[in-house]
Amino acid sequence: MTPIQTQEMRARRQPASALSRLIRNPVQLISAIILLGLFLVALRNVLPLNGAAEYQPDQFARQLIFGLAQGSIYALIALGYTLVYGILSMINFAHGEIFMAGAYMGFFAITAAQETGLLASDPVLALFITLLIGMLSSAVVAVLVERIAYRPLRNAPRLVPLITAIGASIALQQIFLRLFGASTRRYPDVGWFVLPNACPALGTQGLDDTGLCRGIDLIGGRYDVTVIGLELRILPIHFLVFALSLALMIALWLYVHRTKSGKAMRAVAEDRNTAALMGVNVDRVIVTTFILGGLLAGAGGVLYALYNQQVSPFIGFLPGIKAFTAAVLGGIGNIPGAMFGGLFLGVVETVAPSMLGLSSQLKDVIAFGLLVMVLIFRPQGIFGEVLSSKRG
Amino acid sequence: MIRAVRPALYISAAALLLVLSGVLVSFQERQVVAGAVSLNAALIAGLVLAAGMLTAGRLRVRSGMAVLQGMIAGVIVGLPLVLLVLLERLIDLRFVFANLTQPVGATLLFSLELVPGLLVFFSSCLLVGALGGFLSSVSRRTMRITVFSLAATVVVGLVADQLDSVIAPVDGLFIGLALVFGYVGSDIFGRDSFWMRLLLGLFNGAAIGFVAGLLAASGGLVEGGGLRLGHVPPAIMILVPGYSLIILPLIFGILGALGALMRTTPRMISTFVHYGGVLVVILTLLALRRGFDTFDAVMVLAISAWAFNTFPWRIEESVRQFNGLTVVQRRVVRVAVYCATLLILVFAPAFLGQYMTNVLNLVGLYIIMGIGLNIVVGNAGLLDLGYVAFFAIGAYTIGLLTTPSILTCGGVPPEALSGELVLTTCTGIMNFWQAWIVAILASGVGGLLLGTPVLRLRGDYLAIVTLGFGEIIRIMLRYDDFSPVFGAAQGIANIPRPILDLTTLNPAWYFVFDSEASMYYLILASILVAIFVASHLGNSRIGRAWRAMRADEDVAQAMGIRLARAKLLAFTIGAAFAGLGGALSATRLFGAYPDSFSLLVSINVLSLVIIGGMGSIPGVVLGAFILIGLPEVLRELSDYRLLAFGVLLVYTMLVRPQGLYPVRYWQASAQALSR
Repeated sequence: MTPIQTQEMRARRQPASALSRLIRNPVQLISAIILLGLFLVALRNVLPLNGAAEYQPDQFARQLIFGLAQGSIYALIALGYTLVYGILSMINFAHGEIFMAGAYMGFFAITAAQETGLLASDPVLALFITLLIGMLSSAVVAVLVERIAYRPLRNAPRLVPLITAIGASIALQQIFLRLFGASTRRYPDVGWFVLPNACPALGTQGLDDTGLCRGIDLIGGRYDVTVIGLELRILPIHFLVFALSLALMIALWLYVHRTKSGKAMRAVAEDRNTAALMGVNVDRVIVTTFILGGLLAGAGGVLYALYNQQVSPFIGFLPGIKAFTAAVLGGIGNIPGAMFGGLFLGVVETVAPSMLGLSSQLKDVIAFGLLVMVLIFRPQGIFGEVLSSKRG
Repeated sequence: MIRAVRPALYISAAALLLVLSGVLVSFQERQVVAGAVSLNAALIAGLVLAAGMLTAGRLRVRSGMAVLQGMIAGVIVGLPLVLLVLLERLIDLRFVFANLTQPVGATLLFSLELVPGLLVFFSSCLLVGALGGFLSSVSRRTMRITVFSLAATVVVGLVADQLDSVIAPVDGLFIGLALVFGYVGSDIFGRDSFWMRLLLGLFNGAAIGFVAGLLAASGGLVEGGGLRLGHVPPAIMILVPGYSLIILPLIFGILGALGALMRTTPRMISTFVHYGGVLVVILTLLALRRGFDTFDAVMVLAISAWAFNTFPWRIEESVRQFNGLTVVQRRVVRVAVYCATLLILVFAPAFLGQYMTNVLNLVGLYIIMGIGLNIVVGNAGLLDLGYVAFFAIGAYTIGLLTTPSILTCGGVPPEALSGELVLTTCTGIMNFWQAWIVAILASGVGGLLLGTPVLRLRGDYLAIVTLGFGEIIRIMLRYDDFSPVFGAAQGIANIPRPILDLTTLNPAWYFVFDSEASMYYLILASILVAIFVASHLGNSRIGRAWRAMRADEDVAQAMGIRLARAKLLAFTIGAAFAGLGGALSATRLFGAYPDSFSLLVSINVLSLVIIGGMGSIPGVVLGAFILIGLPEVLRELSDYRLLAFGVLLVYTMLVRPQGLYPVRYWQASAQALSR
């Protein structure tokens, strides 16, 4: 009898305490030891044991800000995974590519705005249009994917839509690659200046190429500031991304909980057949879900491309997987969970390598490792909701 | 209305995609028929034809209406392209569509001016669309024959360069003669006696072989000899000098027997022999006349039309007839097919030349991986997206064990020694054969270790976790801090080729697998072993347990199948197959490089398993040839292979979830799937 079975049977017989379960299962035990070791390494690097600590608080603060910005993008994508999973119990593997589509179309929009001079004359409007076009095109791609690849297979066994999702993901990536070329494209520099009154406080950092100060540059600016004794390099774009993502998430929350359509959505997530019997148009709810997921992913794509300043057909894969990790982390199907999971993953992924003294090459290993760990040990996510085991 | 023209709309979108992604520009230079038809013309014509056929075929109308429908489809495909050419005159599309190195108009306008060019293009779209519509209104058989022979002609035209030295004309002649004599001569006595026919065919073929042997022995085929045709040396000459009077009658006798079998037995054999014979004829034609011009195209078109007309492709009927035979007859047929296949496979590198052998090796490695993944995905129903990790483990194990390392160089790191010193003083820890076994075991253990924690997970989570594991392994192999062992991004180079040293048995038996052709035999042998093991496993107790589990886990468990054990076994065995392939791949490429173990390899293998037919070993082989081999032969298409894989994965799941070559028990599981 394998350890897995014994463990399952024991768990059924009596609710064993977490600790005793841990000790009985070798895999969990080994993983726990590894985690403990990592924690000790981190502690050693953080505490000033012999002389100065290797990991300084201002480094942490800097990474925290970046991690939150990165994490809010993950959260935006993760919401798409979670929404679709909540309704259809399937992993929309192509969601990373939907995100990429938004970033790409946003690139064309913002470049067109630059060509026509709109970007220079009215950056806010140009950015708004860019965001809108990115969101809309992602939504269109999401709906197309649903219509072509998922809808005909809605009642197929679980693996079948997953396979088409993988196929759709590859196909989308390749279509973008073939149509728009393999080269990485650069987002144009955007200057969105606010608060001209802050100029004196900025000093020389506020000057642009022409030596003028027009205020704080919300998109392209970077400022060295000292806050409560911490030397920080602040990129306002990170705050902007964070704030916008938060606003979108709140909007989604309101949509799902305050509108009739949102109520229908929750009903379908609860029980599709019963909802259909109650007069909910399931097809329409599913399309709405994909549109919502697409809109959020598109916004995430544009924001991601804005602060990374580049797009290529391959940018969808990694954020897609990481956002899925985030969704699982927060309990897939759980909207606040996805937000939390995204932020958590963003911060951990940025902070952990330097806190553990690891090479930044291993940044992705941390995300993947977290993914594997969470799926194996707590597939229901941090916020619970047991969906992973046998539903469906 | 939209519903009626939906195929045309899809095809129109595909045509736009192809045009905008610059395919046509890059295909412009490539000629299908020298001086007459370029690849892009063939492509566009094919798309319009398909659109016309599918649109009209959907409506099932009379022929006049069908032609009209076809023309409408032609408009649907052609008009966007015309508009695109016009749009291109107004604005430069090349910023957005980066792959458009030339204006679209340059490829679509038949090198005419704008207006006449567009008119000609548009009217040819109409014409071809109308043809498609017309074809769909005539009998299904005529339609099939036309489409198949057109497609065959295009494919032959595309690969003509690689195929014109496959068969020497003399060889082709003798093979054809053996088949024909076997076919005709077996009819002398009674019509019903299976054995008599077989014997006569054998005898006739052997007679032809004897003549060939005499010719070969007398030197009539050597340079300057009277019978030598074309530029390729005849294989019957160089194959087995000295023994040709024994070997050649034997080989041709088998061919003659196959020719005889064309008469009596089921269509399955006759179909295969028939198309094999046609292939030989076409190859002989290509070898006789280098290049592929209009004459060859017409010939190939005629030959294939004749072939498809006399022997329509009816697999179901063949299989039914085959199942109606007696056990002994079936066995004879099977053995004959196996012998013929083996014969062809063994001599393939001699015919195919360096490049095609290389392609075959690549296909072979994917077949091995596909057979392994087929156990995991097809039999046990576990979607593994990190399969390449086990391939990598196999490759790196071979790399670490067979290259000089610090252990075998007297404690000195091999980098510190100069090049010659490394070769003379230190070897790998093991030779290839020992390391191969270790590699297979290591991959299997890797599968076991990975499988233990993850197999509790439900299908889609399992896929993501394995994907994560695959990526972790790849990143770790690339990691700079591990470079003393894994060599970081450079990987492990200078992996030696296997040496088979049987000098203890016979002093002459010392083989170095130093060429692609020799690796081919190693890979072929591995495939045969893999197929043997996998098919026996599939039909064993554990194989049935896997299938039961795939159909319904709960029921399987209730039937007493230990799920965890069965899953773990599938995972471990699948991983071991990947290790076997990885080891071969590393020694074939003289190295193991981390970037060759990307997610794409897993996706490729998964695609060929799914598109070939989940659970079906012939499906894997077919899938590997189509998905891996075809893009290598049609180099122009290789950039688009991933796009094709993605589309095919979706398409297969939507339209033909059982795959190209479904397993026999599919009927049952299809019902299970459609629940």
